[in-house]
Amino acid sequence: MKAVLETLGRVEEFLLASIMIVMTALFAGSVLVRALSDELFRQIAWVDEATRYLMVWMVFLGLGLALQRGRHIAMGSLLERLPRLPQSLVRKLIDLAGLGFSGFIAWFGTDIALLVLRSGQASPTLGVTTALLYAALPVGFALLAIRYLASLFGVFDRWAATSPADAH
Amino acid sequence: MLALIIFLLALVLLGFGFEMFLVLGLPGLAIKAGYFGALPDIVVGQKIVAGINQSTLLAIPFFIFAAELMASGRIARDLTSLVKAFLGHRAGGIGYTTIAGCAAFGAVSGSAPATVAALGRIMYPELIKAGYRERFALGLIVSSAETALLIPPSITLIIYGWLTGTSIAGLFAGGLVIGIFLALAFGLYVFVDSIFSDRKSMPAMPWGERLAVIRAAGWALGLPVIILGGIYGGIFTPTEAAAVSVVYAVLVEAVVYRELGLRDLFRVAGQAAITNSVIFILLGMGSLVSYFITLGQFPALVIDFMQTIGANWLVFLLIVNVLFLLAGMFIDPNSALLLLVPALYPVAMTFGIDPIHFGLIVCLNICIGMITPPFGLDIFVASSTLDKPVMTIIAGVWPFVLINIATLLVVTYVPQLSTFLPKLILG
Repeated sequence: MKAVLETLGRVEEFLLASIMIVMTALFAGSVLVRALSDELFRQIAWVDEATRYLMVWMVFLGLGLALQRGRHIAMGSLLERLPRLPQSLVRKLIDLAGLGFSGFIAWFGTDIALLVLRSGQASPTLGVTTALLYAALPVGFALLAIRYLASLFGVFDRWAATSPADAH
Repeated sequence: MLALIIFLLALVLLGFGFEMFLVLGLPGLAIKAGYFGALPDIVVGQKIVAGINQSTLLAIPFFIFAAELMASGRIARDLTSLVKAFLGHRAGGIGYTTIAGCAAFGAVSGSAPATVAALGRIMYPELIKAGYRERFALGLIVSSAETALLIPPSITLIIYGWLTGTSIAGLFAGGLVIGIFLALAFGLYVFVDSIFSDRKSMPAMPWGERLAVIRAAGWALGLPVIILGGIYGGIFTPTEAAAVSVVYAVLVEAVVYRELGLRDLFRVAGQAAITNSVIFILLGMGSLVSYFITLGQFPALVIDFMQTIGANWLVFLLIVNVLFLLAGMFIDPNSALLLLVPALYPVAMTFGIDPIHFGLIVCLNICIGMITPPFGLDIFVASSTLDKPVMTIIAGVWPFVLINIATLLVVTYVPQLSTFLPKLILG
């Protein structure tokens, strides 16, 4: 189970890094194009939208890995001071609530994505279906739900990794 | 009654250390179910995605990526040496170097915790060597790092700009002035201290060595030149400047310093992406909650209340400051922005307050929240990077909190301080 999570984490990390690099290259490239010719720049008007779609995917794809590495922001001072037993109980409760929440968003995010797909709504400059945008919501929250579930059953200790220096 | 239960739920989730996106999201769903049941469910998903899918916000991942690329100790060290070459020999020189080093690092990074971590390691031993007491040194480092939130690029100001539709270029110009003003206020404290106590300083550096230091820091200084020069020279939008600064950072690290390979680039890009996720999921959940705040006509309630108590803009801004200081003590900066700005900004507009002025008041409040117990994030970062007890840092930070509050009062009641540079540059 732990090995599965680690492989999943590596795949996610590769995708995240690739998206970050591609969106930077796209956007910086469009600045260069604009400097060269306005005519050419009008032809790549889709870059802004493409970059935003990539960013939305990057945000949702990163949710699970951020949880696994203890990177999500939480005001944990009180929790850290609790005695052992109540502390582990509260932690399980957080995992349970997180699992419920992310499972719920993943489930009804799927509905939304399918609804948008059927409506045939297309994005203004890319011309692709906007379902492509909304699909990031259920995918990301499903990845997050998997992590909450794994943490609930103690597959990994997400609190061990927490360091305030990581929180920006 | 229901509202009270939801509010208490949020407080319990917050207090017990639930992830912040749950603290915003779970009550958000409860409000939807309890008050806006007639709205189609799709709205929830739309608001979460719409809080992320914004052209204005695209600047944030790029600035984070550039900052993580430049976060190798090298750039912080180069910038600190530069400042020290010019200030180190004065009385209180090491104190000034700490403040100005933080401000300079803030001009390449938009994150106060990153500044505490980077500058703290370099300056803490030097401050102790110069004869400063442990508490004073810690307080100075933690509070000087706040200037990073004000001096552009600033992620806090970008989020405020998106929430309110205020010009990012204008906010950055105002943030530069207020950031320097805050640094000067801390500098005054170091100056007064250096009169009454004997602090060691270094011998003055000859000009030949100073030139070498300037040359070494030149590549680091290129970044603020691109960002500020590009934006105010009318060459780039803030988002374009952010993307170009990533390319610049990659070129400097890979070609000039030869310290960045393809593997490192991927590693840093992955780290930046996760940092970005952590910030943006709060923006998504926050935009859901803000939507309900607006839909529930909450700003109108606040306006009514202000009229009932006969408040003028002076009183209103005092209330704003108290609210933000309290929120900043207990929740993280971005969540405080997302909850309070949608409720208070429309009220500020009815009082005729300048949007840039209001933004800087908000940002300065958030700065203070980051160094104020019990949940000031920067205190914990300093505690873990310098391995000092939290209580020692808290003991050292309070004089700086007082200076900060005095600065906040000046910024609040002298609007021209925030608005003169934006007006001068952008007309």
